[in-house]
Amino acid sequence: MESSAVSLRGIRKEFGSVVALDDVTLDIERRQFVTLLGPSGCGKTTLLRIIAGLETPTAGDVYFGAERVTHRPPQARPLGFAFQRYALFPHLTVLENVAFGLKVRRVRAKERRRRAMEMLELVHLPHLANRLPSQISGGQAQRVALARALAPEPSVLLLDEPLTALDLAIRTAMQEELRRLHRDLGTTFVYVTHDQGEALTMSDRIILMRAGEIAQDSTPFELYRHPSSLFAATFVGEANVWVARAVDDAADGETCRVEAASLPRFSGRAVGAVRRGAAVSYVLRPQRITSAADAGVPGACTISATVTDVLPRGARALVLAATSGPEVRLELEAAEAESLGRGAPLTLAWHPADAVVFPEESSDADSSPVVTSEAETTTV
Amino acid sequence: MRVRSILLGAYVSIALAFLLLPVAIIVLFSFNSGANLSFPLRGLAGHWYGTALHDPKMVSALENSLIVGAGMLAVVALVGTPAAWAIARGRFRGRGLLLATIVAPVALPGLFIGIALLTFFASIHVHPSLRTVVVAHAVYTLGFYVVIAAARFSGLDAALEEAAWTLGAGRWAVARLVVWPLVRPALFAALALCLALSLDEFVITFFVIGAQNTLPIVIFSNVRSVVTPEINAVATVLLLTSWLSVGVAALLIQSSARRRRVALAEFVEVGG
Repeated sequence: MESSAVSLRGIRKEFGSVVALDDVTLDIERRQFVTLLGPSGCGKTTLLRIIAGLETPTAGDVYFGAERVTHRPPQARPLGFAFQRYALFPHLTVLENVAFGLKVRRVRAKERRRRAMEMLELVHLPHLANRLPSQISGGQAQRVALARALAPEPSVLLLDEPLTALDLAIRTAMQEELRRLHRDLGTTFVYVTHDQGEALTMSDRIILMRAGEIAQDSTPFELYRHPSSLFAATFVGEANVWVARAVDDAADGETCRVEAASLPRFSGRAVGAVRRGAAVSYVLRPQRITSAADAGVPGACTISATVTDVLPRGARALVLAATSGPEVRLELEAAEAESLGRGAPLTLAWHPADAVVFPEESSDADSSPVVTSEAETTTV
Repeated sequence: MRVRSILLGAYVSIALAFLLLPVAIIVLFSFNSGANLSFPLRGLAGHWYGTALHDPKMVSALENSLIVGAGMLAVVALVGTPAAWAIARGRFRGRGLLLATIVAPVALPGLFIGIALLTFFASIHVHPSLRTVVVAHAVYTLGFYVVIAAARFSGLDAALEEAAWTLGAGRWAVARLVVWPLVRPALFAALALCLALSLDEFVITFFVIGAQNTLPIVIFSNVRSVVTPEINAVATVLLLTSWLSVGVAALLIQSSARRRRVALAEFVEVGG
């Protein structure tokens, strides 16, 4: 536990009768960029606020290093916090805002000023030092807020959806800026977002959360390639989800054949034990499907389809295709997609190792509604 | 469209004249050199102000009004500020009832408040004096203060305080460095409004005052015997004082905005 920057042990949080967090245990290593990712209401922001000391857990403990800080107020924890709406002090100039944390720590005025200017240079805004928060743009305000949070040199920086209020171009630039700050400063970053793209781009490690619990804890690559649940597969990245029935018994990681009405038999890698005859979800990323008229991939799953729509995405394009079963989404090179007119015939192919078979989850309200609604039609 | 705007202009002018003409006449007569309150004016002079200033009754009444005002401000600030904070930020049962109780005197007839307070003071054997007037004025103005202060407190983004905590500030530092500078203009403005209300309060005061007099009481008793231009002079002074309070209030409310404008002007100079 000593080596971790922040450790959470059995954190539970109730708001009245609502359980926001249920037995969350987590170690955040020093210098990591960790993202808490999940849909709204999954408890990620509550968890961040508990780390900050802005909320007190109903049960469980929070450690900074080896120190238990569960009941310490935020000001007694070595942390910085970036808020979604910046929360800059409107009556103070940019420089005074950045110097605030130093002022309450009784750093002398001259040193305070020097250090605050240094922080403003770090976020490339020294020329705005004498402006008021009302006179700067949202992107600038969030950079000032970061400089302010980082000025007292916290060991952990907590970020609560700091880019959500910004428009897309600035958001992308800020993502790189945050990565750079993290690299240069070596501070532990704990970042909350509901944006899976943002999480994949920025994090060393993603804690995927769902309904107050940790659904998956892995690297971005791992999360995308090997989602551990249907929820993870559909929340992160795009996925085709087909409801089917297992033809074989398969242990975790083994290849499993599945069948569904009006579709040929496909196979995929089972995640968790699958029983023969059980309802399963067959999940396939649009990026793993090729349009293989020549069917050159040995052992590939194939299905014939016709193009219903082509959505350009710059270098690549999303193609919607109708099959004898459900509609399939696949991503192709722009050049290849451009030649496809509506109604053009396609042969879709993919490698079984790229498809995943999940046993049907019992009672889950949060997973993709597509799955439950299609289940009725296909299992008849 | 044109006709409509002309009609609207005429309507507004008449309404304003109706409201402001009596005020203008009082101010005008206060400068009348003659003793009669009728046109034509005999000439313009400021000597009625001198008369008022050397009238010991008037001067002591003015002093009393200011003493009452100062006392009222102290009571309202000390009682009203925590109450407004509790109403704006508290999460306790009876919050609405507390607010309703504090604000009730704003809506009650002055006559009723006066009788109620008189009865109350008599029942606890407190003799009418300037102190009872201070209490009475505080009861009357507290609602105005609490409503304004509570509105300001509710409008304060809680994230600002949270931000200050996460930056290492304790409760006292947050109050001093973040909350106070942000609410100060609104609180001072609310106090200025209370002062304006207190300075010309007559009905409630009349019930609870003892042997001493405040300015409105003296003016009233003078008017009952004979109306002299001196009264107009005093009334004009009272008017100016009230306007001054309200003006100060308005300036305070804008003070933070003004700071922003100044900085903006700098920005435009540098940027342009």
